[in-house]
Amino acid sequence: MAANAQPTDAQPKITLVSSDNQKILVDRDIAERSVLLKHMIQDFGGETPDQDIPIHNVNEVVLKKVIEWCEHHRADPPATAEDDSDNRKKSTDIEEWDQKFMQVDQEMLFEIILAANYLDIKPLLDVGCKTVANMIKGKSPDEIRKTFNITNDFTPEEEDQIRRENEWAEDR
Amino acid sequence: MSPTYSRSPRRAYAVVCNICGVGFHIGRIRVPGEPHNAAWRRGHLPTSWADSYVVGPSSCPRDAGCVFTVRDESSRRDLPLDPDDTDDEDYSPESDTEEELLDCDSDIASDVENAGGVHVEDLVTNNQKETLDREYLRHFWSPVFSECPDWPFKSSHRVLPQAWYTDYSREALGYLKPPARDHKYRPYPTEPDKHGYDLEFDPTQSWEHIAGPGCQNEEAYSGHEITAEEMQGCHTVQCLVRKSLNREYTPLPDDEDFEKDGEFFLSGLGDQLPVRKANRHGPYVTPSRHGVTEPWAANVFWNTDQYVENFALPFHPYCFEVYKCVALRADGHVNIRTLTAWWSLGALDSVFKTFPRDPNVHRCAGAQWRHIEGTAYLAANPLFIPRLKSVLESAIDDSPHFSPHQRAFAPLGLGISTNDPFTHLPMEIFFEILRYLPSKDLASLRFVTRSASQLPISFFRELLRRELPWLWEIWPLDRNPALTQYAKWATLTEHDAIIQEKKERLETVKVEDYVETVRQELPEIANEVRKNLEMDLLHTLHGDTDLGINDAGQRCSLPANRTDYFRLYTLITRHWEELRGLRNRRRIWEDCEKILALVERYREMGVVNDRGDLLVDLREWLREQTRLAVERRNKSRKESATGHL
Repeated sequence: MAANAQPTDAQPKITLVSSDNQKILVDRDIAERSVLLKHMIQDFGGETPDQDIPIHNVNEVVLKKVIEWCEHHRADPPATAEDDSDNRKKSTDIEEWDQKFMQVDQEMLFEIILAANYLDIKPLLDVGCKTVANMIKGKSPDEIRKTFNITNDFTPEEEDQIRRENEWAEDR
Repeated sequence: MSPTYSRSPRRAYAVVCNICGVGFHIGRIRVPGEPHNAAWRRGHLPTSWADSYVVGPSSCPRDAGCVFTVRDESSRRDLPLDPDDTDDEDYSPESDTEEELLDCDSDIASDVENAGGVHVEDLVTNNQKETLDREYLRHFWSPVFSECPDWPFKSSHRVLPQAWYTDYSREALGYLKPPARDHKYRPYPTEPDKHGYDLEFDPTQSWEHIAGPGCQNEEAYSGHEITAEEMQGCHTVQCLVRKSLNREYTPLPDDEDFEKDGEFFLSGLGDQLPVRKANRHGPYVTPSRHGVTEPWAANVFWNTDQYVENFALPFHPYCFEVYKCVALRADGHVNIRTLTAWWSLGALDSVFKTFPRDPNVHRCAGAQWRHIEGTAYLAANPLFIPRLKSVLESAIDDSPHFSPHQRAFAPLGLGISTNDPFTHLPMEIFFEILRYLPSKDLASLRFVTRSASQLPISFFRELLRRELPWLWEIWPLDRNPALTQYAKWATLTEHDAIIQEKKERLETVKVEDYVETVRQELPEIANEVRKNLEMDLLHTLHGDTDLGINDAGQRCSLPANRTDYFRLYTLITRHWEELRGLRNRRRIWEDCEKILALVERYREMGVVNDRGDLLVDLREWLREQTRLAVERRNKSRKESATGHL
C-alpha cells in the first residue's frame, strides 16, 4: 500500500490552507478520503478547484499528519456501511501501520481525532477512538488517570455513589 | 487396508445433547419440605411413584445436614398423577411408618444421648409424637452444628434454613426422618477425617436421600442448588432424523419450515435416553412423527460404514431454540443444514470429545453424569427461567415521564479538574470511544472523568446487546416476528406429549362416536359434520395447549421505550447466581457460535457449500479424519517416548 501512496504527476493537485495559514499541496484522490473535502470539490462542479481550500480548524502539523494517513490509505476500498453495528462486540484491533502512526503524544492523538471528525474521515476517526479505548482497557481508575494525566477531582461521597452505581459491571 | 472409523466403544457411554454436550441423565435430590416429585433418579422422571426418588447413602460430609427418609406408600399423594389415572387404592394416609421409624433400639438411643443429650423414650400419643420428632431431629443435628465452626455456610445460596435446627413445619416433618436406631446408624465416624454416613440400610425398604445444605452427592443435583422448576426439560431428547429413512415424506401440519424442504425432520420427544454400548437403541419418542418411534440418536457414528444415514442428531429441544436464535442473529435466517453438517462431519469420538465447551461439561461428562457441586446450572432450562421473569418485570418503568434518553445515574457535582482531555471531546466522539469498552472498563472510567460519570439509559441497551447478545428478551420483535414464540417441542416433555396424545385419542373417539350417531340419524350431513368437527378438534388440540412447561411457549419481550436498561443490567448482575437458566443460555449460545464458526471453516475448506450441503463423501471424510487422528496420536506417543529417552 505504501508504494501506491507516492504522488504522481498525473494526479490533479489541490491546495489546502491550514488554520495557521500554511499551504499544503495534495493529490485530489488523497484529499477525497475526507468526505468534507469530497463534497466541497463536488460543489466546484466536479472540476479540480484551482483556488485554495481553507481548513479552519486544523493546524499545519496535524493536517500534515492526517494527510500522511490519507496517503497511506489512498487505495483502501470505501468503507461498507456496517449493518446493526451497534449491537456487535466491537473489535479494537488496529493494523500495524496505523498503530505506529498513532504513537504520538496525547495532545496530538486527540487533535487527530478532532481533525478526523471535522474532515469527516470515518476510518481515521475509528482508529483514533480505538487507540484511546486501548489506552483505557484493562486498567484501574488510577492507572487510567496516570495514562491521561488527569487529576482526581471526585469527592469520597461521589466515589461511593459511583461505586454503588457500578454494580452492573461486577463479575458474572 | 483403510482403517474403519471409530471402533465400537468398550464401555457403556451416554449419548448427550449434541448442541450443548450435557447428558439427559440428570437427577435431583429434594430438600425438606418439597414434594416427592421434586426428586428423581438420573435417567428417570418423576412421572411414576417408583421413579421419583433418589436412593442411598452418599459421600456427603458428616456435617452436610443430609438426612434419609423411608419411602412409604402414603407418599403417592404428592404426585401429579396422569389425569386419567384415578386408581388410588394403594393410598393410605394413616400410614404407621412413623411409629416404626421411631421405634429405636437401645444402641442408637445411647448414641443419640451421647451426641445430643436427648433420650427418645416410648411414644404415646400422636401429638406427643410430633413434638418428639422435632426434638429428636433438633438434638440429632445440633452437635454437628456446634462442632463445626464453619457452619452455617457463608455463601448466600447455602445458608442453612432455619427449619433445620429450630423447628420443622408440619409438612416437612412428614418427609424427614433421621435414620432410626434399628438401622444401626452411627452419626459420627470415629476417625475424624472420614467422610460419609456409616449407615446400614434395611434392604427391604426404599430409602431416599434428602439433601442438606452441604450435600455433595454426585448422583443428583441437590435441591439446595437448583429448583425442580428450573430443571424442566433437562431430560427431554429430540432428534433430527434424515428423511431418506422414510421413503415417502408426507408433510405434517405441525412441520416447521425447514422440515418441509430440508433433508431432516424432527422426531417426537423422549424422556429417557438409555446409556448403552451399541449404536442402535435410540430413545423411544412420542409422538411417532413420520413413523419414527426410536431414532438412532448418536453423537458418534461407531464402526458402521453402512448405516451412516440412519443416525439421528440428538439435542435438548431448548438447545435447538437457542441454536435458532444464534443462527438468526448471525445469518438473518435459521439454517438447519449448518447444524446437521457440523454434526455429521464431527461424528467421531476424537472430534466430538474435543469440541471446546464449558470446562464443567467435561468435568461432569462420562458414562454417567457426575452431578458435581456448583454445576447445576448446566441442567437449567435456558428458555423458561423463573427468576428472569420478575427481573424483566422490574425493569419496566410505567411512569409517564420515563424516557430511555434519561440519565441512568444520579447527578454528580461539576468537579474542578481542568486537565481532563475527555471533556474537550464532542459528546458523539466520546461515545464512539465508549462503544469500544466493556462494562468493566466503563465502570473504571466513571471514576476518572465526569464525561463518563453520566450515561443515558439507552446507552445500556446497546451495551446489553453487545455484551449479553443471548438476552433475546430485548431484541426488537418487529424485525423478527418469527421469534415471538418458541417451538412447541421446547415447551413439552415426553410425558406431556404422551398425555396430549392420549387426550387427542379420547377426543377423536368422541368425534367418531358423534359422527356415527349423525350418520345413522341424518346420513346426508354426516360428512359435513365430520369435516367441521375435525377442524374444531385440530384447533382444540394444537391451538393453545395448556400442558407443558410454560403457557404456550410465549416469549417474554420488553417494550423498548418503557424499559430501564440500566436497571435491567444491574438486576441481571445482582441476581446472576440465581439466574441459572440464563447462565446456561449463555453457555449454549457460545457453543452454537462455535458450531457456526466451525462450519464457516468447513466452507472455506470446500467441505460444505454456502447452503450447508456436504461436498464430500461422508464415509470417506470420516475415514480420513480417523486416519489423521491415529497419525496424530502415534506421533505424540512417539514424541513422548523419545522425550523419556
